[in-house]
Amino acid sequence: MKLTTILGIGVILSLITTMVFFVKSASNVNIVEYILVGLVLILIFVSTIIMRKRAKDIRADLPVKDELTRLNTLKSGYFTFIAIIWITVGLIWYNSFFVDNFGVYQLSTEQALGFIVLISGVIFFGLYFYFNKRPK
Amino acid sequence: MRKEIRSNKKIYAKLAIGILLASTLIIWAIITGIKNNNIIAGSFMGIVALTIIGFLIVYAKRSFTSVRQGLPIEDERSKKVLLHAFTKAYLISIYFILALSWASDDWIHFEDVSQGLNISILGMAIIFGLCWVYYNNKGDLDKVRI
Repeated sequence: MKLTTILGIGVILSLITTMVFFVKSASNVNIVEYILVGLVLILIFVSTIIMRKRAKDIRADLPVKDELTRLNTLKSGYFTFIAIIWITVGLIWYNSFFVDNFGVYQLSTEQALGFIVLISGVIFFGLYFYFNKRPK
Repeated sequence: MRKEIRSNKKIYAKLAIGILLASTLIIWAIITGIKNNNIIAGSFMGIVALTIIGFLIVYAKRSFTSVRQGLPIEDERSKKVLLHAFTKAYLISIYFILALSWASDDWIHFEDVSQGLNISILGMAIIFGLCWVYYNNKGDLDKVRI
C-alpha cells in the first residue's frame, strides 16, 4: 500500500513538473494550450482525491471496489463513450463550419485529439463522482 | 400484440439510422475513392460501411427472431453487455486516439483536422463493435475485471 501511495504521489509530482516546464518553455502558448493544461490539472486533482480515498479505504480494511462502484464505473464509461463521439462530431463542425464562417481559431490535429482525450477523462471522473453521490 | 408492434418500430428505427449511416459512408467512399483518387481511404471507408451492414443484418435477424418468439429485445444481460462494451471501448479508444495523435506528427499526414477526427470516430465505432462481439460471447459478465 505504501509503495502504491508513494508511486502515485511520484506520478502526480512528475506530471505537475512536466506541466510547469511545458508552460515555461513554450514560446507562444495560446488559449487552447492553456485549456489543455487546465484539463490536465483537473485530472491530476481528481486522481489525487480518488487515490486518497482508496488509501483511506485500504487503511480501514474496506474493499476498494464494491458492486456499486463497479456499476458506477461501467455507467460512467458508457456515457463518456457516447459523449466523446458527439464531442468529436462537434469538433468536426467547429473546424469546418465555425472556422470558415466566424474566423475562430483553427485547431491542429494534435490539439483536437488531445482535447478529446483530456475532456473525456474529465467527463468520466465527473460522471463517476455524480453516480457515486446519487447511486439511484 | 401492441408490445410486438412497439418492438418492431424500435427495430425499424434503429435499422433506418444504420442504413443511413452505411449509405452515407458508401457515398463518401465513392467520392473519396473515385473523385479524389484516394483509393486506399475509399476502400477503407467501404470496408467500414460493409462491416456496419453486417452488424445490421445480425442485429435485425436476432431482434426479429426474439420478437417472433415473444421475448424482449433487450434483457438484463444485453444491457450488461452494452455497459461493458461501451466502457471497454472507451478505454481502448483513448489509447487509439493517443496513438493517432502521436502518429499524425510523422507517420500519417492528414489533409486537414476533419480527416483525423473522422478516422478517430470510425476507429471508435470499430473498437466498440469488436468489444460488443467479445462481451456478447463471454460467459459470466459479473467476473469481468473493469
